[in-house]
Amino acid sequence: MSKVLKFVLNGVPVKVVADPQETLLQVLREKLGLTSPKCGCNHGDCGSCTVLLNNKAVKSCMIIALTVEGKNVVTVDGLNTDGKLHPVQQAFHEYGAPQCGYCTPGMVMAAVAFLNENSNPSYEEVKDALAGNLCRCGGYQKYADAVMAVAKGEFGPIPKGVI
Amino acid sequence: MREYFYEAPESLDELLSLLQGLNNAEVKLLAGGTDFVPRLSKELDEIPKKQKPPMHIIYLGNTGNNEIKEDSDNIYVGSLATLTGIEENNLIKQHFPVLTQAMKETAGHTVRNIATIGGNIMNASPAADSITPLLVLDAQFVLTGIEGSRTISAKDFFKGPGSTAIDKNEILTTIVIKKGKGKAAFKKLGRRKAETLSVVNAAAYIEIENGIFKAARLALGAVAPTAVRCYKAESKLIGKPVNPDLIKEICSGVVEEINPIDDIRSTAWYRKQVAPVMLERAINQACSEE
Amino acid sequence: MFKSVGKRVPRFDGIGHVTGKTVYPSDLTMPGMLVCKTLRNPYHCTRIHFIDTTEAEKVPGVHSVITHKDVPHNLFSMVPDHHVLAEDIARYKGQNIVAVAAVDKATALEALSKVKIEMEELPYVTDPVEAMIQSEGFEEVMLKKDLQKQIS
Repeated sequence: MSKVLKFVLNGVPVKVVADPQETLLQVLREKLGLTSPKCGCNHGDCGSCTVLLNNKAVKSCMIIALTVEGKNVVTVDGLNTDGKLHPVQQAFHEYGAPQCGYCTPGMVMAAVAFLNENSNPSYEEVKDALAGNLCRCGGYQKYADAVMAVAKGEFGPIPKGVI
Repeated sequence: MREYFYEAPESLDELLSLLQGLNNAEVKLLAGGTDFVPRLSKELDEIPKKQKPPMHIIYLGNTGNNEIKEDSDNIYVGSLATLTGIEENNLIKQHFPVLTQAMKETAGHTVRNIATIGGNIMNASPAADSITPLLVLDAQFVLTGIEGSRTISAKDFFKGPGSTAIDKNEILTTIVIKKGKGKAAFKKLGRRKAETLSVVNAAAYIEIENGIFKAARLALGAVAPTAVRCYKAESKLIGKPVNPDLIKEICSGVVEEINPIDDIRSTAWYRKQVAPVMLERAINQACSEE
Repeated sequence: MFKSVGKRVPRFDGIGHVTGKTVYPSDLTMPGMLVCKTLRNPYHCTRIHFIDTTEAEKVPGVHSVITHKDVPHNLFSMVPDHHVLAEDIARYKGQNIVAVAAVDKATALEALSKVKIEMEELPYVTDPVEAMIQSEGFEEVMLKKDLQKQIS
């Protein structure tokens, strides 16, 4: 039996009708037309569906949509204030980390969430933060290097908060 | 096509009376959902074999109960505390660093941000990473129903894979751990380092006085239908001097207390080889912290 | 002197990737779009005796249920001996046998659950050496000569 779901998406309040068995990923992609979170495995292993839920990185395919009532969801589309790239996005692009690009939105959100809470990480901590994001093209090292570079300040200050 | 219903009670009392009303229906209590939701998605991707009754999904996230508190004797962990919440909590870091360590090795950040300790316990996988530390910490579980609450020891709670001593219409509300002076450690072996389920995990709690083991609680996971305490090994250790060779010898005997199986992650043979090693490492690490 | 050699050249689609704007096939939707789901061979080698799709076709929201009979040219692949939809023998686990087009996934799966199909599991061979020894039962062995004939 469907219910009305109200939450905040990328800073904007949204209202959508969702079924109990629908995941947040399905609602974002199929009902709200936001295709940036990707469906790679649909059972919480690959991380291509990673979004922020109340500022924490989560895998949206593992979340029942109706449970995000009243909460704050941010996807990669919510990062580009003033049309400028977030330092993480700029770094990934310049380091050549994305190849086919399918894992990239998830990697971006995982990295953004991590850097919001860790301003001076070690390389091991960066790798651990991205451990939930699989990349079939093998971009891992470049993703981790790019995140370290952002942490070191090579791409400018990290915007406070997310939106 | 199967019908699904969703409720999100706002308090424990509302939850308990809702459960009472749904007594004969198929109910799924949803906390973090990191185990349930992927299984549900898989079911929804398959050709249905037979008509199933409607499922009532009841979200527990609005009933509160996610805090960690203390008094002079105990630490009280709300069952809906997320694994990240436990990992980052200062009371846990101070009193039970073994639990902090186990949380750091459970799944990954994105799972821990929504998964709950209550969910991990009630899912009752023999390989669960929170259960072996809770067994050696001698945790107590508070179960609450409409009639009231009762407390059951972790070591008596698990009956089989996915099966516990909880009654229908009871909820696990609190995990109570007594503050103590001993030291504990957790060791996990998975097929890879990150985001992996345990092939074998081990936890050890020890108290040492004048170089002699005064107390010992040992547990192994993923080697039996439930995570198990190794009572024989414990009794062999107590009263003995802290000696690496003796520890190794006692751990090698632990194969008598376990009966692992072949499954998709590993084989019984392999688990019998590594369980003593992981237990030995856990004991040695706990000793080095005393 | 060089524009690209020795320089770090960003990918032309890099910005699209990092902003989530790159479009993949599963991101595409269009008005009136249907969902296709298939009934797959559950065994490794199967003889299909009969298929009855009448009940499946009646499920509301189903636009079409097809078998190999509805496929005008049922062969594909580089060496065209693969069937689009299995005919009397399905040769691998997962091979498509029946296809449904419906308004959504749940409807398509509901329709497939109503397909009546009689299948007989056949002995299978998964070892190449064993396959060569057992080849007398298989008529479709393609020799190099036949391949030349096909191409020319």
